[in-house]
Amino acid sequence: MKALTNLADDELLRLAGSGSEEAFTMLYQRRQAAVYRFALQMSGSSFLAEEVTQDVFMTVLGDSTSYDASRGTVASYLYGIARRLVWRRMAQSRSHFPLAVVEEAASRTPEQLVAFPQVERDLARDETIRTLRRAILALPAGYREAVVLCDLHEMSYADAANALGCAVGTVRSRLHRARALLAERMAARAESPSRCLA
Amino acid sequence: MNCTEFENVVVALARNEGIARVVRRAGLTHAARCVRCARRLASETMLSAAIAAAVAEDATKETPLRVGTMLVEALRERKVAARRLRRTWLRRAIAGAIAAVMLIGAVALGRKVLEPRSPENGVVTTALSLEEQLVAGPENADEVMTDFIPVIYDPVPIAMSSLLRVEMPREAMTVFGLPVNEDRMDDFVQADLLLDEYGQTRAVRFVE
Repeated sequence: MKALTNLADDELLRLAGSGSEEAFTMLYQRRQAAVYRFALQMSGSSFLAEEVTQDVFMTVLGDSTSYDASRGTVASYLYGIARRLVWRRMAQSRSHFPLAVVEEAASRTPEQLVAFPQVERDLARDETIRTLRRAILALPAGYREAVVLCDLHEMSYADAANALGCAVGTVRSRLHRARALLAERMAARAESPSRCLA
Repeated sequence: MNCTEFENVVVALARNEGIARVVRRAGLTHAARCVRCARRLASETMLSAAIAAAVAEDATKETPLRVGTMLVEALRERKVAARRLRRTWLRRAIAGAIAAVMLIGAVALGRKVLEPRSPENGVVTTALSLEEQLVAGPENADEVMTDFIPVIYDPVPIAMSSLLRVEMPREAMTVFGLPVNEDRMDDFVQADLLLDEYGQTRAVRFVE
């Protein structure tokens, strides 16, 4: 296992495809969190994110030969699979909602709530993040993907374009438009009193 | 820089992307003079801060352990299924090879019976009796071989037998219950087939 830590993702993918459990485990450990977060941020559902992550790696087990190194990184390849699975699952169950946001709000203890002013600051920050997440989930599909990949996952425009199967210029313009929409919604929230603190 | 040009670089300014220092300075100078663009930059910067906070919050989120465990189990099941499938094909291939050998042997014997045997026509009989074959040692001193393993049971003793050396995948040894190193499953191993007078394979032994 130690020797595998130095291997690049594409080599691990090749070995995993030929049945190496160690290579598959290493690749999974390296990439599962990013795939899971991507699905979670795209759908707002931890259940769906879990299922998508599982399906992405099942796809890798079933057919790793469809990866073409000349077209992009393994990370882009995995995001590409995850993206298709997220849309398919969301189309199947239209009733998705941001569970993660609800879970975070409910997880605060009474002790944490009385520890002012740190809690007040935390609540404001949490409210900002919640608003951001809601605004991202409300974005049109193409814009949402651009924001999640380029901003939340800090991918380069080229890698994001590869994962989305479009031109770099398209990613750039989608991101620009998406950020303008998000900035508008964030500014609108900042101007109106917070419902959470009311 | 005017407002349109500023709009083109405002995301890069807020995301702190690598843009030319001259462009950055021109953009910030414009924002200092234009209230609308200053607001735009402020909202973009606020958005970047919120995104950074969300990224930090998400940093620890990962797939539950059970998913990884399930995937490893799935991989193991696939490997077992693939091996089972390969063995099935191998058994069929061996059965086919044995059938082919039997057919060839039968045809050859048929010809032998029909042709008058004479020293001039170059036919040399090398066949040994079954008892002789079963106790015969290796032709080459370096060879190590297993005992003959019966392929079919036939109570009728063999009147005339012959030995045929073939190569087959090492995995074939597992069909006869012999231990094989998994890493060498795909290598080839030599085997002696003991044929009866009808060209039917009675027994096999593996040669190293």
